[in-house]
Amino acid sequence: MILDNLPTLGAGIGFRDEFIGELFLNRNKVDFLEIISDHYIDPHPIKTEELALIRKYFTLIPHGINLSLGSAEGLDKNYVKKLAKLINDLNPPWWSEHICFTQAGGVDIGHLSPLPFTWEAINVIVKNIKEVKQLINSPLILENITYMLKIPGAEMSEAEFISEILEQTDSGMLLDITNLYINSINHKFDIEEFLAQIPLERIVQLHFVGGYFHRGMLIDSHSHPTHKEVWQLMERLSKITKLKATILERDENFPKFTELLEELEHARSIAFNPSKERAMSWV
Amino acid sequence: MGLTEVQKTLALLYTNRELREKFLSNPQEIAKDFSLTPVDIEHLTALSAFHLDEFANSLQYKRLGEVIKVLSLTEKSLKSEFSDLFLEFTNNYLPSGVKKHRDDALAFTKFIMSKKNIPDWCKEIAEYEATRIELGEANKLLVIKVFRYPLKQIIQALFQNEEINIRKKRTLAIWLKLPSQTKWYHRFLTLFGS
Repeated sequence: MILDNLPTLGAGIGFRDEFIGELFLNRNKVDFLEIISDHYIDPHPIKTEELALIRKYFTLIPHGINLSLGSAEGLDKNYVKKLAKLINDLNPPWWSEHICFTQAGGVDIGHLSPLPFTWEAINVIVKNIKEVKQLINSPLILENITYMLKIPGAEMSEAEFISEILEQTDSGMLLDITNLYINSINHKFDIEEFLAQIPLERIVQLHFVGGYFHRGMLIDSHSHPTHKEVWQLMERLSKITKLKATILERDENFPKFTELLEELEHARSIAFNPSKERAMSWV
Repeated sequence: MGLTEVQKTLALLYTNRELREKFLSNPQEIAKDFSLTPVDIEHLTALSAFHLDEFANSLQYKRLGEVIKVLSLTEKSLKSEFSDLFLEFTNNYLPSGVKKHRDDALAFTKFIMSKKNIPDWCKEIAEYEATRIELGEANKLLVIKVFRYPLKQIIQALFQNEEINIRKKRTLAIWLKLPSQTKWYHRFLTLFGS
């Protein structure tokens, strides 16, 4: 399996402009960065300079948000071409996208939208992924999304749906453990059952962050410290998988950078130093 | 037919409030307007109205959050009216592509400037922020804009939550960039006696 030879990157953070100064002041405390690919497609010259700068000091993992791998209409070839050029130029250890669709019929939904858990959707996304893989040299890892809305007509569980896609496309998994936790709360399912149904050996990277409750639902807002249940899930996964990387994916309501670094250090101690005594009592 | 049509229908239901409201009040009738199979219609009409509405609203609030990031002064000047106006604006505009948030913000400033009941100085703040956004794509070295209000003082007051002096005073906003550099230098020049 192509995933066997991937390097271990450690504990990284989703790069955001808001903390670039603090990031460079604490360069030795961040193992690598995940960048949003779209921010560097048709970029403003300032973004081009920014990419050159962060690339000089960090390993970068491109993370796509608008490829719409689940679009039954097929992929936007112009976008794919630009994305492939960006990723091939960066030549990262791997890159990631989501199991979802973001556009249909000329409408850009503006967010990751769930697919029905059906064989038809599997056939669509597998075909699209195979098309993309022909153009991008680095291995692809696929992320599970949160969904407020369940599309009726499911022919299998979410975990079975994801597993089938991973196996048919020989892709790695970016398991967003916050998304998994949120879905398990909002849709009332057992995380252990989910884990029992996915190919754990394909998990390469984890995403983690915190959200908040609104009208009885846990919202995937990327705006709060990581939930204790998510830390527990990371600890559990560190024992049953061979993690290559964890990423703190904070997008909103930024605290002091030192608080983000504390979360990174905690993730590092859980995921890559399981025998080390915990420095902080988070869980 | 099949997933293609289901996704087209879902994309519209997520992003078009009028269609969504009609669908939620009479799903069978509205679903017939799309090229859906009877099974697809059955599935779509089984969608949770509460969750469909919540998801659609979350999309609007995500857009609002992104727009506030680049129109922070306009948001401060319009206060709560900013989000009310934005929700009105989203009824007729849906951005797309990798620069969707930039395009959304620019289109929203045009919407603000077209409204009759917005104070002129707020419209000028929106125009000022639109100019700043457009500088990113501008293939120019010098941009000069004339405003009727003392924007420098107004912006300082907005940042410090102070009372705003809304007396007119003609002001030039000047942006200058050196060749081969990406950074813009910016100055205000207030014209006395105007």
